[in-house]
Amino acid sequence: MLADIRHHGSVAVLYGRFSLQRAMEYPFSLVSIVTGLGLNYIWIGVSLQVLVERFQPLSGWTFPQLAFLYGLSLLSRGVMSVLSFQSRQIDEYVTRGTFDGMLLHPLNTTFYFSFNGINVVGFVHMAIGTGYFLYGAQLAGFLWTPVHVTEVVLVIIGGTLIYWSYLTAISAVAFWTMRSQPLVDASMELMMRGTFYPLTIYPWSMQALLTFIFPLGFIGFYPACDFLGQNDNTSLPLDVALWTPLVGAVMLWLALKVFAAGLRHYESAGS
Amino acid sequence: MRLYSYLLKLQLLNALVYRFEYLSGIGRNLLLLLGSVFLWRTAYRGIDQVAGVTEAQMLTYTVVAVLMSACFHISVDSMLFGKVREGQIALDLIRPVHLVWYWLTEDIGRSLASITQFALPIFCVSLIFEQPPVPASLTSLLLFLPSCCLSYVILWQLGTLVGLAAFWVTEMGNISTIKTMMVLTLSGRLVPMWLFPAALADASRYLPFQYTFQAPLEIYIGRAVITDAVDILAIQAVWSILFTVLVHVVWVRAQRRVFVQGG
Repeated sequence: MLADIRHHGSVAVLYGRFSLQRAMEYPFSLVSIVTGLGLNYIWIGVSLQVLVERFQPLSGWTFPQLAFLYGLSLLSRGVMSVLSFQSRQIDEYVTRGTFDGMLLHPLNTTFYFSFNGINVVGFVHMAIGTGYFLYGAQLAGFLWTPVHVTEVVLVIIGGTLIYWSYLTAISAVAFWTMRSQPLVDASMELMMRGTFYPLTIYPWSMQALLTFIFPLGFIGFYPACDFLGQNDNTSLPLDVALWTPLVGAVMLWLALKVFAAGLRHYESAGS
Repeated sequence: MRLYSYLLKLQLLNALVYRFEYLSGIGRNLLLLLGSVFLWRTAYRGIDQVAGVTEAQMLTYTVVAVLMSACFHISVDSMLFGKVREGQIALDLIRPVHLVWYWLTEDIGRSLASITQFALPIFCVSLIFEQPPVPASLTSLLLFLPSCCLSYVILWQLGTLVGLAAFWVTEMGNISTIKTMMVLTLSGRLVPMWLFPAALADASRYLPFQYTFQAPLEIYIGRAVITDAVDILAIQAVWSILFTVLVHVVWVRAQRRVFVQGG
């Protein structure tokens, strides 16, 4: 068992190194996407600051609190982005028949599919997320106790699992429909709306949707409420920073089930 | 002209084929719409107006921005990357058509299809939770329409210029990401530039981006009075002409640089 984990770990590291080397081969492309995405994520933060300064705290959240929430969500999103590059491209693998190659490797298919490449751009999310998180933590009164730090790490791990599972399950639709990219794009929009802003800006029905059906609220909103003492502001009776890893584990189990069902349904498109 | 009409019809029919893509596209735009509407409602809670714009005006701005965005189909940049990279551009070059017009016709065809495919359903759904996004006046509507067309022209030319760069640098893939992000941030589509610090808002007036979304929307909600609207239309026309000349020059040079990979 331990040897198996070690073997898979070493393979993942190797593929990660290959991905980095591949990305460095196309520096112009890398710089373009890093600049574009970097600008976008910084701009979202700036827009939040403008909204608070020109209007009022957003549903009771000051800018440092919003920065904390945004940074926390962006950190999980960054880790997910590094690891889920392939998920978004399932439909391309399926329609071109290149998914067959993944089935031939002497490794667990889901593992190979997930770790055969990393998305370097995810590090941009992580860097910007770290900046906003530290800024928000400094000004919003986050207490840097060992317990809180451990909780933050657990929340980021849980948030990553929720993001990854959600995206993988949605992308796996391609095994049935042959196309999932448009659905993935729609899901990315939902992810952004459900994690970057306080859920309390939405009506109760949307809050419930983002808590029980697509539990994106557990990535940033509920943990941020807990860390910053914003519990009175939530419309749902939950006090749940440490629930995030649990929800992440359930989501992972569901996503793996969907992916496995998709694999059973997969019919090669190649010749 | 008959040829381009035929191409237009072809694109309209093509767009109707992919039902799954269609439903996902509607879902994405609805999420964008809902998210923006609730964000602005929260921001305006208990506040009459900010920078001379009321909550009702801002909600109209948001709904129309999403509708415009749903209608504006511009894929010329990604299409050019793909064709130049895979050598398919050679087949296009032997077609008996003016290629820039051909690409424009393709995108206009898809955009026209998007009006009924995306904008109309999104508009209908938006009526469930939002007042109809009516223009400030009939004059505003009449001035908004040409402004909207010029917005599309500017956006399309920007996309074409980015796409044509592929003739010089074949592995540049994501430069269109920078263009998309610049448009997303500086066009005022999500947050109007007038809310940002004065220096930034003023600087953005000298760039083409805010003339793609913010300018026509300002006319629509009545923030720009008639004289302002005429000025906006004139500036949009200048940007359109400038980009048309630029696209022509770059396209002429690009054709001299064509090399086709593979055999």
